[in-house]
Amino acid sequence: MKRLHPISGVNRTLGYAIRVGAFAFFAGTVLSGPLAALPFAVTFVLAPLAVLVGGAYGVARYYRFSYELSDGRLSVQSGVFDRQEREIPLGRIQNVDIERSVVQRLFGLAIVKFETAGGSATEAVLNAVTETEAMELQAAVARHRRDGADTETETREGGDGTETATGRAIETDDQTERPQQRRLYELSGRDLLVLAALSFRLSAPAVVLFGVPFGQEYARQFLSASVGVLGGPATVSLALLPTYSTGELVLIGSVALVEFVLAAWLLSAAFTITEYYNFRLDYVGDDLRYQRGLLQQYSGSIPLEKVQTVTIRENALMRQFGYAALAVETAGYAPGSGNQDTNNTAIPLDDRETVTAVAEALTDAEAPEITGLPARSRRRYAVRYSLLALGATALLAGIHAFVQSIPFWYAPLALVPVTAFAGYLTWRHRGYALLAHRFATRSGFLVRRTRLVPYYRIQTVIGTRSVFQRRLSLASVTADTASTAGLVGGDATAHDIDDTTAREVHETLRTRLMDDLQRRAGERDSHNLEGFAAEGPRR
Amino acid sequence: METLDSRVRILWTMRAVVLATILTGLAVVIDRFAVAIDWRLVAALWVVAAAVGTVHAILHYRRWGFGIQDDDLYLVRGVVTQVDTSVPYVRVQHTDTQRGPVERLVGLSSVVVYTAGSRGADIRIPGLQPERATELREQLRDLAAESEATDAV
Repeated sequence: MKRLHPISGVNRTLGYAIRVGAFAFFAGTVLSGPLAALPFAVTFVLAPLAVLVGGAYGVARYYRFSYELSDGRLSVQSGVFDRQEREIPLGRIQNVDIERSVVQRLFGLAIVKFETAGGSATEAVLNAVTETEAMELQAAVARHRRDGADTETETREGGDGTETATGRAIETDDQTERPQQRRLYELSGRDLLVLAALSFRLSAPAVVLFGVPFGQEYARQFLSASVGVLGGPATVSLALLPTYSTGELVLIGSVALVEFVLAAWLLSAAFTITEYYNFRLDYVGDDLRYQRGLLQQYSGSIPLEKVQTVTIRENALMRQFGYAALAVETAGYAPGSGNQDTNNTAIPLDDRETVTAVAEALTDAEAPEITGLPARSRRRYAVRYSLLALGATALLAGIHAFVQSIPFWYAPLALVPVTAFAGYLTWRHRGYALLAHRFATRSGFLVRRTRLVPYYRIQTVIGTRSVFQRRLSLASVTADTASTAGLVGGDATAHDIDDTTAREVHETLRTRLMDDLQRRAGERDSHNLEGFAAEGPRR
Repeated sequence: METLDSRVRILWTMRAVVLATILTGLAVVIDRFAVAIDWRLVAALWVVAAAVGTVHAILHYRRWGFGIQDDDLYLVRGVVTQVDTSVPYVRVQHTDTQRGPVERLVGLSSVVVYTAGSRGADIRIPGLQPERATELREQLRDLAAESEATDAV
């Protein structure tokens, strides 16, 4: 069994000492001060004691935590009071992610995260080990998958992970030669800037909103200056608010709004740049491996055989300029485990042709010819989207009639053309296609997602018909997979298609699943006969 | 297509009546502490809610069906939104029989089939005779084992 890097032990010890010490200090101050339950001097005994206890706990945690990668599994022991021993078969590991913060990079350390399909959180986190150890662990998991598929026991990794270059060189005559590495995709500097400009993060306006009170004076001066240039009042401040004319207020308001959006946009661009700086995607043997990040660096491996769905993602702006992004989804990340959208990214942004080409290379599938929805479902979308405006009107009408009179209570009706058009746009971007070995679905207007689901990845097939759909003899068919991205970005669903077609699609999905499973089983058998060594990287 | 045990109607009707009572209770609370509501309105609310629930229970029972097909378990259900689901045996992770306190009272049992999917991860067949539930669970277990999964997740 191996321990984490000593520096992380020191870090953890200091962390616990400070936290527990601070807690004791505050508790002591409160108990002796406002509550007067203890003499004040006690705090000066309590706090240092707590620092010692916290430090001791940190040391104990460090020494209790050990891990080992051997016999085809990862074992992790942890916990001081609640002791835990966890074993993860290497074949079940979906993703291995490596993270390095700025401080960790200074010390040459990295956090390694292992994801499996079960569970509600990351299954094993090694915080932190040396960079070389992190790479070695990632490689060992990939190696196991490559070699261990046909041999039950894995003895090569029984060592202590200190395999040297000479150790490898001796073994090159059998299967342990270094996996072939091939660059699949690299994000150019220009594309990074375009990506930063075209992607808008919702967190950015929030950060600006929280940030403004801290830089209040600068924000006010900047606003004054820009309003002054545009011929407004020379100084802008809250105290002067009642003295402005309506025109001036409108000017100040709109300038403030424009500057707010601009600040949020710039901040969002800065976030995107630090996150996707130097993005690269490689084939390493049978794995995809990405690397990215300016300050905090990330790298992760996605085994191709664990890929559930491949999704082409285009937001409305990207579509205008002919760009798209690509995501490769596995069953690894737990729902809501934060940055799974970025962790799944295969291409952050490139022109549509490149994205389609990589998607085709990854899935062995032709670019889908999407079938749109029948025209009769169009009305449904217009009506469904207009319900919002109609509902708001009804609410206001109710208040107007029974509680208090409201002028222009029918104003929301003006939104109906807008909502109807939004419904139309949603309708137009939805569709599906049945390919040779993949089910393709497309949906979304603001962010359009084209999902490619291999038939053999389907878990269940679900057909739904609501009352309103039945009236127009429409139905929806969903191909459910184990991909966790479905929880965020929606399922692979063919919405509102003709009822008879839906039944056919349902049947097709069922039979193709069985066919493709058998086909793959057949391929696997023949692979086993031929042996893996001669095969090389296989997709 | 196999149907559910007819006693499931009693179960579902009971559930609807309980729900209607809770709803009416809420109206009574509002009546006491906020806005005065006519008691006849409250009574009407209870009757309507219970009636709708009962009709729904009967229609739901009529609609519910499942079949053990060659490669998958097929389920049809839903009154307002009709749903039909195919669960391939290859995808069955494990199966449960479950009996809640109310179900035990009526003498019924449910079978729950789990898949690794993200949406329809657990599929429940309610309203079965306990013997049939056990039999079904074992049948599904055998079918899942036979159809040996070639692809773990």
